[in-house]
Amino acid sequence: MAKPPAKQPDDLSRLLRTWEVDPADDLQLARKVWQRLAAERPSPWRAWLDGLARLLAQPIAASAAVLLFAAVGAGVAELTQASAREARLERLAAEYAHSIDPILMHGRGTDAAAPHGHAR
Amino acid sequence: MKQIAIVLVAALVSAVCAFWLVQRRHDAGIAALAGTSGDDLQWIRTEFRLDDAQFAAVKKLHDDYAVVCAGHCADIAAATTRLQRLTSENAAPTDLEAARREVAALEEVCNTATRAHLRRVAAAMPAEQGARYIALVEPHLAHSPHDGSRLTP
Repeated sequence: MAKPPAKQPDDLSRLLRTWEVDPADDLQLARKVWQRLAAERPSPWRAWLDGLARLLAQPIAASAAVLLFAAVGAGVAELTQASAREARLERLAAEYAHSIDPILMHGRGTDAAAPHGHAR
Repeated sequence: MKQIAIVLVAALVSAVCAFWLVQRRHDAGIAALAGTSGDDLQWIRTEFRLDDAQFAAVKKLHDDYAVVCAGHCADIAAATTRLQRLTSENAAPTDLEAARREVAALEEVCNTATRAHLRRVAAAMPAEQGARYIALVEPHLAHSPHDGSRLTP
């Protein structure tokens, strides 16, 4: 393959000396640059999702997330059911108190919520 | 994103399962209590974890006290009826006052007897359970003390 004829260094230097660049003034240049940078930058929400995806891609983190949710579910159930049990127990205690307290049986006490009859 | 969705679904499923399991366990406990009526002592056995001997002692105390309680019931009922009759007849103030004092005195006797019964029952339980029993039942009694003079087993 034939080599293209190379210009002599003196010719190139001469040509470069005659080359003039005259860029038009763009007063909006800085703003446009920042706009392009902002457009390229991902949104915080997207960045957060990407971070979460990277985190959950690790088996330990994914397992921890599953366990955390299970603990929250169990905790919520524990709270709601404990209060239901307390209410039931209070009701039984009130009925029992009525069964052993003659004053309550005659409706003169402070707690009139239970039927008559002695506990056996 | 698919990774997040899979993990989140697994986490939600595990949360629902955990909720259901805990709820089922509590339901069994409530059912054990609910299976006993207010006139029954079985809930006391369950709640205060009494063994056979302790439950037998508690049951005997209640059987014995039922007779005393019935007597107090009858006395209070008679005194209350007398007071109501005197009130409806516009009886003399001194008679009304005497009838009121009689009802109050009977209630005081009854109150003392009920609290003594509570103490005896608590003493038949393990100390910690006895304290729980009193703390649970005492506030439901008539004229329950809220001034710091609570019973001790």
